[in-house]
Amino acid sequence: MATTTTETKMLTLCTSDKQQFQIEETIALQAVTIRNMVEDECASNVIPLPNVNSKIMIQIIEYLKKHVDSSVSKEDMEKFDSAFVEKKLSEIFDIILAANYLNIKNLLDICCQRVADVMKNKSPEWVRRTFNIVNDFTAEEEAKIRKEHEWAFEGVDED
Amino acid sequence: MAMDRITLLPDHLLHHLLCFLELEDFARISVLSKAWNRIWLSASIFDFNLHFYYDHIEDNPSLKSSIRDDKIHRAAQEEYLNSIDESLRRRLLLSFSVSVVGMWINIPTFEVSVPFMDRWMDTTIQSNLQKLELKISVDDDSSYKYRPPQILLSAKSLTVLELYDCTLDSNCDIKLSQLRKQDLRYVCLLDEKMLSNLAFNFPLIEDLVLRNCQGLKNLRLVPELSQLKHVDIDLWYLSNNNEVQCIEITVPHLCTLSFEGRRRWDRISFGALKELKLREAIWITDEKFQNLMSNLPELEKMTMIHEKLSEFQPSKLRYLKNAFSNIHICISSKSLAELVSAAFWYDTKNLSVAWSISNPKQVLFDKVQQGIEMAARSREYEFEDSQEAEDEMNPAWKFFIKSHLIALYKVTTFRIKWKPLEQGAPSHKSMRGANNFEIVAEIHILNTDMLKFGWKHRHRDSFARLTNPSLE
Repeated sequence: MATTTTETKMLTLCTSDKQQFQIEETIALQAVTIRNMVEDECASNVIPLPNVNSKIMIQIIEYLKKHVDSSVSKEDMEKFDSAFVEKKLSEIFDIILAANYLNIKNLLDICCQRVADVMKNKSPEWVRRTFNIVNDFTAEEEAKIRKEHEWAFEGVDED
Repeated sequence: MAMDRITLLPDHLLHHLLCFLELEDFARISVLSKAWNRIWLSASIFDFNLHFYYDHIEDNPSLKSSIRDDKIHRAAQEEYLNSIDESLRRRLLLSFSVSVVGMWINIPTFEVSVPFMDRWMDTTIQSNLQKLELKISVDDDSSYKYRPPQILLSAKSLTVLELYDCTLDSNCDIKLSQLRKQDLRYVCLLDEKMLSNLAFNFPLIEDLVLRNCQGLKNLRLVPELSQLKHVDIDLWYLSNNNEVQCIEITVPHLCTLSFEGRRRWDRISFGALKELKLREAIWITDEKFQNLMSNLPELEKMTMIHEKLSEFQPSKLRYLKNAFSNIHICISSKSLAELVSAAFWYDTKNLSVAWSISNPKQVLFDKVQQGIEMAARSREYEFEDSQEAEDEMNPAWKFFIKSHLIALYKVTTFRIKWKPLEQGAPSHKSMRGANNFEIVAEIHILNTDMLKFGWKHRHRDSFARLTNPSLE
């Protein structure tokens, strides 16, 4: 009996710390950067990704594997996405940079949304503390800018 | 000390991130640090709406108590407009371009805001404005409509223009050479010749929306509009449909056409059409309808919206059912009972029905309940022995209503789909037990929140669905 399984084409991705990841081509091609490399035939056997380390790559592959599966309902995909971004902010920033480099739009968007949600309705003091932003305004300068947007400072959450 | 990772992100990523912030959060980031102030200033999207003004009053008891005092009220408005003016001016001073401007304005005292709006138009267009959304809500008792300055109507950089509730008078000279999308709603056209030569006005137009534009006399969409793909015309709320003298749609490459209104077409030819939406098209005779349909070989989706489905002679539905098995048909009516019976009668997986509700504010629990009872009765009528199925379905509906009761105040469309779990169309047999099929109920929620947060919700369709819980 003839076998019906077609051979799945695999790609090897090499991260900045020289780790190699073998993944199915259909999964990897969701990243537009990788797709362009493959389409332009720049990619030989191993695709180097010097801007992504293995720790982040593992998480990105987890994301891509889920999103390649067309049988997952819209609802379940949203659930997966919201669980996926429940990470430390430092990791989210790493993923934002990697998603930008690899050009995975939805991943970039859900991570940006996560950061935006953290800032939602929070006072500038709280945001500075959370993101370690150093306030380099003088008290006068800050008061002046605040005055311009008085409406935006009303009703923020208590710190 | 821990690192400030966020500020180290490249500017274009930070700008992208800012798009996800709501307007108030967005304004607050200007004060975080000098670097953030710069990022905030250089964001090319300038989106605000004067609904904030009312929130501002709500939060400010001294202003609220004096709201009847015109002088104070006016001064507060001016102060508010000045703050927007200042931030826009500074942005332009630093020669950051503002490519997208969204304005939702609802201020009763127009004479206060008009000079500001004129100035904003003027300065942003000079900085190569690409997209403008101008939505002006007028108080019911006011007949004033904003007249955009001429500079807007001949802006060379503009690609998207959305105008709500404005007036274009006879002195306007419209020539938007780069415009791809034009959306005019409740716009008063004072000159009958104004939009008579669209190929000249917008040579590159791809997407044209004209909804309830008073004064529209001649609508000629001609083959010269070679880029035109999507057309949405609504004459529904015009007091007199006969005001329109000529409707001609002869665009060979047109993909989608939505036409609402009782006015007949004078000349049509759009052989490449993929989607057609008709509302209250009771003027089409059976013969014309068959003629129209047989000249649309590429058609994939057909939507018909009628207050009473029965007015749209059943003969047309029968014709559709028999002649076009591949087209996705959507029917919509105010009568849920009519829809339910049509859905059962139609008996095909290519059909979806939508219950249209004209005034979302009046959609209350009772009304939905009533509709559902009608649906249940209709089922009973169709299937004499479906008492059991009905009993099993009701908890699903009840659960659905309960979980969305709050949202129901904002419902615009209440869509019910019968989706058979088994392959093929729902047969009489599979309808008998609720376990054999699932009901997918979707409510489309009018984004009234959008008025408040013009930013984020625009990208987000509020959407809720429920599968029959008895299946789980």
